[in-house]
Amino acid sequence: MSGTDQERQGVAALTDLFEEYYERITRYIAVRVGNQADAEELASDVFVRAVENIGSFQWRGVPLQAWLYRIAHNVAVDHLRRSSRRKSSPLDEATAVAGPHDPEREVFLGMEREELLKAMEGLSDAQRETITLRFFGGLTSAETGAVMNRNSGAVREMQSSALKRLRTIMETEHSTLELEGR
Amino acid sequence: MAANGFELALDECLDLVLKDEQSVEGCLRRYPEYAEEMAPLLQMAHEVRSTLDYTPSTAGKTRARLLMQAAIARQQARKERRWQWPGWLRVTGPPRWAVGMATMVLVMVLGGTGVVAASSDSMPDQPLYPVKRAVEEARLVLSFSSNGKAQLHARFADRRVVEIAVLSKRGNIKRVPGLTGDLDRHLRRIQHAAFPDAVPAIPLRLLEGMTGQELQTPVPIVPGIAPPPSNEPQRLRQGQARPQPLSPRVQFVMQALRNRLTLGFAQQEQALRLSISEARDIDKRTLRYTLRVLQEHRNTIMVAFTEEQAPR
Repeated sequence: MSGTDQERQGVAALTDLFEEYYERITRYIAVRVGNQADAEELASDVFVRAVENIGSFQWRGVPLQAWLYRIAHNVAVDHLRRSSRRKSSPLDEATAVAGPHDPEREVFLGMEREELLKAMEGLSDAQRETITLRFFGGLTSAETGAVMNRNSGAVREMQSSALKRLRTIMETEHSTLELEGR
Repeated sequence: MAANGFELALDECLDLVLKDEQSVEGCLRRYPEYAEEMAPLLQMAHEVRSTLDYTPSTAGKTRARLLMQAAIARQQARKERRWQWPGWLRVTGPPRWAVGMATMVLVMVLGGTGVVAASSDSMPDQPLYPVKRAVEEARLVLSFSSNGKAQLHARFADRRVVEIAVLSKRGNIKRVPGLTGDLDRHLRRIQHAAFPDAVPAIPLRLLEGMTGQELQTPVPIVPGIAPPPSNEPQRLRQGQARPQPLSPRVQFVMQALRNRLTLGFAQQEQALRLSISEARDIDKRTLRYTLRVLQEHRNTIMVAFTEEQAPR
């Protein structure tokens, strides 16, 4: 098949994947960058970049979905680098959970999100990437492995250690808060 | 090995819990031997997911879809602007009109010898086929109206389908993907000539009463996204926002093109379906792809006709 045919096939496949993967990729980016509005803008960048670079995609390499998540990873990392890790309200502290407007509940949820995102900063880059791809990107261990260039066994190990580490961090944080009498 | 078993069980439970297919408790019951160690991890996973998850907005998705479609249209337009001769004649250098004129001279010289006439029925695996394609390109270059180009592309699309069917019958499938690419190009150019709403060109209905300068004014790449600011007359911009009724002349041209394409698509589809039914199993997939390309373009073009000719 010629390069042009492959590109055409690739663009058609991307159009199909958009409907299935847009939400997942947006969620993944939202957790990576900690901001919903930025995530939606960056997710559209992912699909535009994918169309523009479909010619460089190797059909016999990783699956197209995995390639999309790699682009999403790069887009998120570029964004964080550009914004110099500026602090923003976690997930905009809004619209995360649909429901009646309840300021007290929103403040509480916002604190919880902030606490969790802070705890996730205590994970290694690979652990954080594993958890984000698995829990928010909606990928299986094998698919996560394809994105991260690891086998699924390594991914399973990574998610297990990440959850244990996260739990330890959260427990330590709660103990500290209790000691401080908060 | 035990650790491996635990991680496998945890992985399976995470899949089920994250997809809301099973509760944490239900999963723990499946693996009582790991329940004590697994419970806090599953609860942690559930907490992470439920706290940080959110539903992306529909508006964001719509915007992303439009931006992606615009990127596809831009990419397609870039390709269309590139040199479009078939691979075996692909050259760089002389402008297209010059090659067209040179080809016409060649056609006139060879015309007397009957070469051009003889080439018109040649197939891609025959020596005169390059002459046939060169004559086609020359005719396209020398056709100046949108309708004329659309009609020529429709005729050449017919020819590509006939060639695909003949080659398929001869068991020579290796040229079919290239011919499918050529078919795709002809069908895209029909759309560009008649309904360029998604590409930078001028729709037929806007040709009425436009000056030469106006004809070079870009139209929006994607409906809903404003074109770059320009000095174009207000009349044209208003025309794009609220399309004027088609003039009788344009209506006639559109209807004739529609009838021509409707018949052409039906015959092309019939020919391809017959080829698929007669092809070897190994070749069917290639031909099905060709059929899919044809059907997608047909649907797009016919929907565009319906929208264009709908009462305003």
